Amino acid sequence: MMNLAMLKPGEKGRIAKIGAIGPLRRRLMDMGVLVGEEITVEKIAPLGDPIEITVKNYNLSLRKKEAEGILLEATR
Amino acid sequence: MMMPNAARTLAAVETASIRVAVAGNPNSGKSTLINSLAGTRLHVGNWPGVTVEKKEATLDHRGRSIALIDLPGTYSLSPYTEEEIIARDFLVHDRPDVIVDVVDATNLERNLYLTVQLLELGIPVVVALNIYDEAEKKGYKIDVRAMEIALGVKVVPTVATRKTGMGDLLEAVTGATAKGSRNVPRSLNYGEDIEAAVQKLTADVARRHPALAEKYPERWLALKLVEGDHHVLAEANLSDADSLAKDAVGHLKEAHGEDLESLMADARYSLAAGLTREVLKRPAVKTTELTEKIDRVVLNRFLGIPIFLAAMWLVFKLTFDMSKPFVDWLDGTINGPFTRWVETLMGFLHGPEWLVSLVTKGVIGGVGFVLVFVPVIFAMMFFITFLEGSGYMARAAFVMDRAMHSMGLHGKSFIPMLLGFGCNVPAIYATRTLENPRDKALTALLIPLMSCGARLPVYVLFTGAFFSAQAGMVLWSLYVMGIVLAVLVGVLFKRTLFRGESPVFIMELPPYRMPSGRSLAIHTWEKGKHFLVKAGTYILSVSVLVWFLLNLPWGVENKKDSFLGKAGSAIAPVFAPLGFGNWEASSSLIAGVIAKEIVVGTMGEIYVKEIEKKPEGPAPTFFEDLREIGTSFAASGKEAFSNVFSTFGIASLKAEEKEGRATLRSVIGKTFTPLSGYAFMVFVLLYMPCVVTAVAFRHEFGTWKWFGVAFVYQTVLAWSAAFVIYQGGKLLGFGG
Amino acid sequence: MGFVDIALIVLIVTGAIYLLYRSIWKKRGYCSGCSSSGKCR
Repeated sequence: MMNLAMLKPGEKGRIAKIGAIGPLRRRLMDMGVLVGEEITVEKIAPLGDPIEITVKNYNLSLRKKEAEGILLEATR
Repeated sequence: MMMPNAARTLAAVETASIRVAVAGNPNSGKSTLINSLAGTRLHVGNWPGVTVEKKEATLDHRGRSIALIDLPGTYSLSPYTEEEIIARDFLVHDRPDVIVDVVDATNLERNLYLTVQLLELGIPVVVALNIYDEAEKKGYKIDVRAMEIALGVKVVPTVATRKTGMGDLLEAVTGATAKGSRNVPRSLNYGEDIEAAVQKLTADVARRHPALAEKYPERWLALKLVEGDHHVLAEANLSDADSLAKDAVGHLKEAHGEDLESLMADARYSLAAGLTREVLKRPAVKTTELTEKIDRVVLNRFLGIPIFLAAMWLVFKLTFDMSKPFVDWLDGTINGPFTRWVETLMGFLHGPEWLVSLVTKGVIGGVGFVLVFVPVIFAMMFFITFLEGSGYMARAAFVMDRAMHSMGLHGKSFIPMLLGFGCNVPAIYATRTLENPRDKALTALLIPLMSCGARLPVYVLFTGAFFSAQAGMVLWSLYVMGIVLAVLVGVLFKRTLFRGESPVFIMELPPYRMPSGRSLAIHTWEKGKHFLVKAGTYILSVSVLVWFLLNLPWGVENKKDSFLGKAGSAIAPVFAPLGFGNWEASSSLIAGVIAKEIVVGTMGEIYVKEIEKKPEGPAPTFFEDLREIGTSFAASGKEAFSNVFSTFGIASLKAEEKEGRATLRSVIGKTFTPLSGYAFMVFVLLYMPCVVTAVAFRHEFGTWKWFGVAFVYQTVLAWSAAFVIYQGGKLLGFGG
Repeated sequence: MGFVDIALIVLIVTGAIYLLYRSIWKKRGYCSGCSSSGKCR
């Protein structure tokens, strides 16, 4: 299944499921990462990690590992 | 505010102080708003038991006294981060009269997510629709009236940076508490299913736990139970929470299948989104934001780190160039006219000779030498504040994150480490925000490698003596060395003492903003003030004690034979391989154990004979002195100005000799060489955390253990690094 | 080295040590907003 870490800069996806649990999950949701939202990868940091994304018009940084937990529907 | 309503008379209500909690997202301009409202009446403190800042201010509006309490910036009122818990606890238990919700008009949906949660509390809310100017610039059209109707509260457009709308805001606040005000927030509808569950829960709680119904806002409590909020459950001691919730919530779970937290988050966002759709009209064409353009360069894969390093270098260069002339001016003024006045004054009071020496050489020599560097500190704090306020710091964290990640550190660790560049002490306390004890300890261990402001005087002194032409570069090299070593040590620690999982990292990148002159001034002052306070307290006391240690046994001729001198001589051999095996350096390092500024102060006291001024001709009068001070100040200003403009040319640091007077700088030039001077600076950069920091460790961790670890590894590192530099430098022919 | 001198010295040294202790331990070297006496907790 496609996850956020697989996207390249400029690509978008729609969130299908959030694999995290507990505080991380809640934090993600509070920041707008919800099922059904469109998420865009803006940039990947100089050393590959973290990843800058846009969701709900806001910029966030996520670790690659966290991004892997965000599963996407197949959209390009 | 704890009195039950019935006991208040109408008159009392009308004149009672209004307690206002100010809530909002981070980066919504909340701080600027409070500063705009409160101005100099702002009082910055801490929330009890934590190091999160608490800003309070009391002001008068039309005869009513208004007490503002700034809550930590949060995105939500979930029970997971310290900031959120502080905010919600205050709102639920301290029950303010009004909440001012600062909303970023350029990010309506995100900000309304919090607004919606604030409305659940049943407290009157006033929305400050802030950053309104930027929203307008983007072409947004917000129907404020529609928003008021939908939310059931007053919405006031504001531009905190320009102090626009402040009056209206205060009016709305006083209006919200007036009797008969219709500012009761609407209970927003979260959908049939949820509302049904809420109703049932409210009834159940009222029946089975009536005490709770008093303690918490009704609706809010029910919603928390639906969510399964563990913090509330623990706090309220609800042992049969499961059975309570099961009936009401069972339906929900069956119908929606997911965990209820997501459900609630979804419901809230739906409301926020729906509301935004109703009241906000975006322009047809999406303008490429300046922020994005800048970030394309700044966060570029290859340019990111070099740009960060270049930015740091620029900060140092500017700090140095701008402050140096003023440092010289202060030096001349304190050691010249000021000392003379004090001497004259004490002469009038017939003070004993030793006391005069104590005051002039001990206090003025010690503290004075440190105070001379105040311009450097303030300049540096100014630039750091500017970087923070403009939003660049978040980018720096992003760029450096990979390095931090390899140390097993959080992006959140960046903030305490950044604070460390100002002073290590508050930085250690700031590790409180790291929930994971492993993160906390590791971050704290690395903080002392962030070169703090106290070490600046040492650097400036030695750089001025030996490296005046490349001052910015040398300074930069020291700071970078600290950072690089921190990364290496961090990786080492992670492999050995701190094995384990890497923690979570989510950080937001606010849009670039030009910080207002006001906020720059206030924050720079806050940071710089700290330095002054230090000078007036422990630096002062240690300078006094050092004077005694340098002048006892009584009547000792050569300072080398004093208590401190003997101690220094005893230790000096240890430093011989590093190039500075003399008692003066050792004694200064010993005294510097208390606080690193004292290294310079002690040197000032030790070398004082050499730099005593031989008066030529009649001493100037008081007024001549004043005039001299004034003109030299103006000259310094001009010089600072021209320095900044020549920044992109050659660095302009002149090692001046004022009127043939020997300065500490020139004396240093005789007892050290450039190589040993650099080695000395490196040693000061790296060796043990100062006593004040040690105490911070103890206070923050409840044990001396981590300080012990820091002491050992740092001292070993300092000695080794200085050794390599000095011996290596000699081998390479840089002289001894 | 009169009596007054010695008294002054004792006073000053005690004062300095006290100031040191207070500013470093009690007030943790830097603590904004804490009460001026007693522990910060």
